[in-house]
Amino acid sequence: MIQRQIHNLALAEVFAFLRSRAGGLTAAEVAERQAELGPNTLDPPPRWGWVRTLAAQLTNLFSVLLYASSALCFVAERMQPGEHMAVLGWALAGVALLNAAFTFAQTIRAEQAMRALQDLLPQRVTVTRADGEQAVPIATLVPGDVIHLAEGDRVPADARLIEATDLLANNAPLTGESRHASLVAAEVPAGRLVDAPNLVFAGCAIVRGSGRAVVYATGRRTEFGKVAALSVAVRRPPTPLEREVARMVRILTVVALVMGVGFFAYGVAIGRPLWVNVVFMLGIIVANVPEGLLPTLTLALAMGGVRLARKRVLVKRLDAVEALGAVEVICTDKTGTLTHNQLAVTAAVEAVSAAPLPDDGRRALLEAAVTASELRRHGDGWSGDPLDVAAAEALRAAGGDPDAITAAIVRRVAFDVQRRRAAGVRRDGAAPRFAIKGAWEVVRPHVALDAAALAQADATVRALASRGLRVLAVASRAIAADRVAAPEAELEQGLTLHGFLCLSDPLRAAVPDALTRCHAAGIRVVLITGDHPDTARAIAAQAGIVTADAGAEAVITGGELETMREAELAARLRAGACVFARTTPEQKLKIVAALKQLGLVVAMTGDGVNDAPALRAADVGIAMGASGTDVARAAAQIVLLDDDFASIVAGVEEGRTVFANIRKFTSYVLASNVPEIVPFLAYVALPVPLGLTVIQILSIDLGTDLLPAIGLGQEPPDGEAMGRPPRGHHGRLLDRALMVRSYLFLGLIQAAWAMALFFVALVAAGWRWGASLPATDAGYRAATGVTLVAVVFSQVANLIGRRYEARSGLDRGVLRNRLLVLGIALEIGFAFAALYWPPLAAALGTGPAAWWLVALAALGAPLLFVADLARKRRAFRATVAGTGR
Amino acid sequence: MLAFAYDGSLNGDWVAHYAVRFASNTAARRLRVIHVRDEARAAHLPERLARIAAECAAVDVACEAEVVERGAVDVAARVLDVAGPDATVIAGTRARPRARAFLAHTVSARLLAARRVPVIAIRVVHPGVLGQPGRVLVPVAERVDFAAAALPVLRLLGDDIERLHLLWVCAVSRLRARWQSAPAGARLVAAGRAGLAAVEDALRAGLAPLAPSLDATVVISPDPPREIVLQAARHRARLICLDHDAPAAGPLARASLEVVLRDAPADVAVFRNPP
Repeated sequence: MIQRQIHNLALAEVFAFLRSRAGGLTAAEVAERQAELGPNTLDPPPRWGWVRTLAAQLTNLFSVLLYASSALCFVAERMQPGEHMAVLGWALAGVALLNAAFTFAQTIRAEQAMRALQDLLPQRVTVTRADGEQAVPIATLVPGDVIHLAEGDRVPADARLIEATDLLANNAPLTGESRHASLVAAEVPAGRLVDAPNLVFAGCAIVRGSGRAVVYATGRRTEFGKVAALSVAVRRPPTPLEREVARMVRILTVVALVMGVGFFAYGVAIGRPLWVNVVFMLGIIVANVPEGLLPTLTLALAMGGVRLARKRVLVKRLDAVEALGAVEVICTDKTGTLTHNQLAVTAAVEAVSAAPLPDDGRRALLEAAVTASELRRHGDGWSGDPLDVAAAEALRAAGGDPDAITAAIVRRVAFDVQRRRAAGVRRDGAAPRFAIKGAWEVVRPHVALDAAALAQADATVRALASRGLRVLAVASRAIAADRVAAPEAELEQGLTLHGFLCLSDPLRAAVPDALTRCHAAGIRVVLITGDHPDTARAIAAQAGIVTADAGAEAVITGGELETMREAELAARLRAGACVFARTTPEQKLKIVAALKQLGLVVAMTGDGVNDAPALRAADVGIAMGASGTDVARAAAQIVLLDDDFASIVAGVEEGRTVFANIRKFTSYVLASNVPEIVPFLAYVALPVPLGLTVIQILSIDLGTDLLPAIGLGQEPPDGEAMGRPPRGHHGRLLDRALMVRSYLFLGLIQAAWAMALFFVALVAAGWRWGASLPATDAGYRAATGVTLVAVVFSQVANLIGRRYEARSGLDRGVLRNRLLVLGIALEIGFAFAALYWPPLAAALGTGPAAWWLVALAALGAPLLFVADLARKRRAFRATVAGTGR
Repeated sequence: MLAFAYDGSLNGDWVAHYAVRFASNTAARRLRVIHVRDEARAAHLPERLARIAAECAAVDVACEAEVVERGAVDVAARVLDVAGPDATVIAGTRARPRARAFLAHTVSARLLAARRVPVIAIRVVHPGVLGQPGRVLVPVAERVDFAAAALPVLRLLGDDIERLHLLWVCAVSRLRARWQSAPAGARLVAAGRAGLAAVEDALRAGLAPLAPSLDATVVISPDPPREIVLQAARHRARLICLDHDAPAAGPLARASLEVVLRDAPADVAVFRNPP
């Protein structure tokens, strides 16, 4: 049984434990402790961490492949000058560096959390040391130092209070508890260390009063330091998109290498010169690698991020855009996210009958409630605890004068998180009046009611809480004029219960609709709140998270969570528990872990400092922009600018659209790889000229394909995005169906048409089977030009077809996507320029072709479009038939 | 018999709270405080030893303080000689790291390396808990006698453990952690659970009549030390009991221990028994 921790000790024991005294440490003791324990600072992040990040980006598989190809190009150029291999080498190296630069710029944000945490700590503090009071840098504090605390200060280290005068602290940065904690110097016999009212913690703020405290933990030994260390230590798991892109790159790299090396070996075996084999190997690798895919993907995510920003969702990491689309569970706070965070008094009811109080009774209750409040006049209204402000507003509405009541207050007992009540004494005619407001469980023992009336009052509270109302009991009594300063325990006896003050924080209007969309999209929503279980369940029912008749099994309290085994929690979650009440922010990490144990993609919202570890542990961390701390914002990938739950759902839709679009342009880009590879295979295997050169391939991959692919990345949501189940960890970017369709259907059709036209053009120019042609031959240049143009034209049809899985692509708003239209214009313009604009033709090694050959090349587009449409119809019929069965 | 190797520092005072609590949970209720004379810390030594004696007295533990000369051997060897063959030795790690290491090249490291008697080396991160951690995380090493190895130190904690969290880390390569299939991961976790269940039963039986609340977690990780640190934070553990010989750490044992000691958000007790 724990009985002696720092908060349980008497002051003399605290000083003995710390080898200190009220007069402070001597300079020698301070120096000795600084030497032994180090400075009172948090460890900075590694100074050269960004180098590692950059190195990781520069050395991914894709980049390495491109560097190797680039190096081989330079070798080939040296062996056989004049083949433009150096140009290709530079192009490949440029693509690799561009890819790395894009991703590096988006990933270097790791140390932000630590920087934000450092900003929460003060720079200097007043201490009492043997040589007097002095202001010292906080880094020089050591355990045993006696520090001074005053209103507005930030606490520089964990310390035990030795004097406290009307001291009130805001521990929100650490505990997430928005209410201020009233602090005392005396030892407390029980309770957790982190909840102890005689301790102050680094990073927290003193909002009122003054005091002195003796430091017992500094630097990373403080509670704050541990959160800071954890925020940095928690590594974000790779997002589903990161996994998918890595998998896709691996597949494509393996395919490219196997084919390249295979044909290199074949060339060597049949006795071709080495440099020719190197060039062909490079050609095959270049044709297989979709060079423009990764920059396009980054751009699609960046544009998705811009669209999300318009919906008040700020994306800090690009891949979070897509990760949001994969989310299967959203763990959300209540206050401010589902609700407006604007408490209002909705009723004042009589405790036993549960009837609304008459006007005079309501006013008496509100006057007592304001007596037990701490308000400050602020313009036309008041500032302070939202509950207190709501009571004052209600009293004003009832014709009362909250300012007069406040002015008459002669003693205040601030709200105490552990005792869950606040009290005050005000002058009220001849006799002062003591008033108390707080949770019914804590007021109940002090009211003068018989057992039957108490039972009735219990029932009233349960009924009110089950309607989602926050219920406060308000009681008061007149006291003798000389008992104003009497101990609370004396004043609290024999109170008259005025009734219950019911407050509610109204649900945001868009929330029920957003929840409906979540359910339709197969996304589960879990509510995590510090509220009473009945209130939490009622709010969850109003929002649509649970049904109105949901049983107790849907709710898990913080107390249960504390003792629950992890496997048990996972089982409860699997069974449908989705409301967590009376929880602390620290417990969020346990909930995230249990949900991830179920294999789910989890989004978690948070706003406090100690939400940071959970935000980092979740697949998608979402911080509140309006009410959140800098630390939470730094730890999250996504910041909600308006704190509104509906914005998360809008983000999910955008994320799903982005993923769908990525699949669209991946399919689009991969299809053109086949007509790029086939000419090389034909050249190696048959006695025919090369149909498409490496430069021409690059002109497609990094030229004509790029803008249309970006256009596909801009396609708007198709209305079905939120009608499908979540993709989770299992949805594939590059699945078998996509590869078969891209390579074996679209790609083969394109290749067949382009190669057929190549041979037609060659024959028309007088070529005979087996004859070799120089690269400068006009007929050959026209034939390769026609092949290039055929591929580019068929990509136009491919582009339109990729817009929808089942529909043609021409049916909805093709002209509304300006990038798509521009892309098509670019492809057509490029096709003609490649043949008839001499500078480009010279660069590409093409030449003018007969009009009928160009017309035949253009005919490839409608042919591919019709074939693709027929395939879609057939697939659709098969799906319908399958569903029907 | 418990022997506490006390260096006279503030950090040593923090470790002393554990030593006193440990002693209060033994049948003998005796603690030998062994200080190998160090001129740099001689000034306040009597006062400090008196304070430890007073703390012992408060929990009905007999305290025997011995200040010994170092002689020709190193400090660790001297402590072991004085403690005798039947002692369990408690010592502290560094208070602040030297070249990022808290244990390497310390007296504690040499005590652990000697393997002559059971040794518990403690790093105090929470000075305020005064040796009463309440929540304890025990990373379970994959060896058959783990429960037997861990039980002595857990018994010393006695009823200062309110919640005991067992952690089984399935160590895998980074590549495997990233790319293994869900069924393969599930098989690993299932195997871990089976191993953990056996350890849990053995610990439950061994700790009786103490009955701390027990929980168990199995995780797959390419980085076991970091996982231990994270799980300690997740479960708000105030103490991590770490087996010095955990084979999961393998050839990187020392570095892994140092990572936990350095990054842990909780006190760390590294224990090692003689072969």
